[in-house]
Amino acid sequence: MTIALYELAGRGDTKLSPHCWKSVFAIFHKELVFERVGIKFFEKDRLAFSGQSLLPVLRDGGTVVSDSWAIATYLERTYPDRPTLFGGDIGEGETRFINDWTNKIQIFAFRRLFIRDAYDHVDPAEQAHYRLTREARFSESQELVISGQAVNENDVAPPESGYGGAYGGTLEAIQSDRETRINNVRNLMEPIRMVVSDQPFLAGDRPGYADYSVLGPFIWAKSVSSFRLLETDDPIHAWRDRMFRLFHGFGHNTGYPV
Amino acid sequence: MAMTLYELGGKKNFRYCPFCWRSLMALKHKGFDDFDRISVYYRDRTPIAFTDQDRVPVLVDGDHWVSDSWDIAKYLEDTYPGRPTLFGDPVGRANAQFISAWVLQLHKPFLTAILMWDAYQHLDPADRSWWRADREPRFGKLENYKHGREESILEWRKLLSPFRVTLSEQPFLGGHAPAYADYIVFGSFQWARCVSKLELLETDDPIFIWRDRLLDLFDGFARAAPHASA
Repeated sequence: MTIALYELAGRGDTKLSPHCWKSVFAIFHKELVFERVGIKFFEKDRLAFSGQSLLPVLRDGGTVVSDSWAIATYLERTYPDRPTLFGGDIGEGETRFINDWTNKIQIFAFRRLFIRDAYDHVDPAEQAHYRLTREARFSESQELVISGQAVNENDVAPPESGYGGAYGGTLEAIQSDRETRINNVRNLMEPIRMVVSDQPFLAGDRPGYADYSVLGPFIWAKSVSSFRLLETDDPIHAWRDRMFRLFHGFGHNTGYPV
Repeated sequence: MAMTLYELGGKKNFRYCPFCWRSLMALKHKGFDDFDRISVYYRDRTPIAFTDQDRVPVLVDGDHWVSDSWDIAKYLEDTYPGRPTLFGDPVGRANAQFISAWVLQLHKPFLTAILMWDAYQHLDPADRSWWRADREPRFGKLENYKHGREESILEWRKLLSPFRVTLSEQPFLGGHAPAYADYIVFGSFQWARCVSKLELLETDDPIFIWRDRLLDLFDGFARAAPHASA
């Protein structure tokens, strides 16, 4: 049976969603052969078969699964004899928290660093739409905007404390202070840093879904930007390099060199 | 042979050290009920001098001792594999490290500041001058921490947002049942509960409900501990 992963696509080969990258790596981890299908913002009607409009979507034979976490748990239960993503029930429970941390803290912080760079990688015919919707989401009244739309909550987490910098405005303004804000973002990543200083991967001696959750935003970042997220002597840099080398250097070969 | 846990002693019978609570919950999880608890005070570490270090918790099991709450958890898991598991498997053990690192972000600066004054009030009276002399060079006057705590709590709650999402999806960090990862976070909430009347959580917060579940475990072991609101 053919497995297909539907991902949010931009201009050319660029993929635009950190959540989709989590699923790509989860499928690699399960050693499955799959086809990648890019879906642009204006092509969401092609997802009608899934009964919803968010990406990623996995199609495995006759089974359709949307949402990256649901995809991960589906893969783990459907392919239990392949390398494990979670280890067991406790590992899965903890990984869910790490995934939620990624969604609420890491992705939000990263998004503000790259939102204008990401715009450059959106299909030109969709850039006006992208600017309009993203600037609205980042505006001060974003909660009102969200309440009127079916958007993925994870996609537009509200501002949490400590990220620094002004909030809202144009894509250019949102990204403009990143040189000063980058240190806040690096500090936010301290839990990752502490763990990978002690052990090679978040999941221990081998990577697991906790690693792919946290890696997703890093791959998304290098897909759209060469901005230096990490200092080379940061333990997270060494971990990221280990992750980039997986699956024949897939991460290294994606997007900009960083 | 009965085990002994050396833990931080407070005034009267208050025991509030968050890391000691991790070990207490781990011992109960492993089904140990008859361990001895010995208080160690800031001013006098001689009860644990045999360990060649000066921090609690320390677990003594027969002629073996272990210090550091994380090492104690690993020791219990590896020494008593036939009892209820704290980690499940190597991935569960590795993932718990991230949760431990995240909790440190909860402590500094917010929770430490919020609880500073109340913690001082719950010290053994003879420990107070030692503690003031130790803390004030690093944190400033203790009296500075009496005010502005409500505002800090509002900020601090935002840091909990990933945990709140998780607990709206599953009852425990360990998934369907509590695991050591839960005790890592719970230790900090128990610290707060033991020393402070401040409400860190709103009653409809999924984290409040989770904390209640943890307080109910082991026949209400943690709930029965002396605490500030009693």
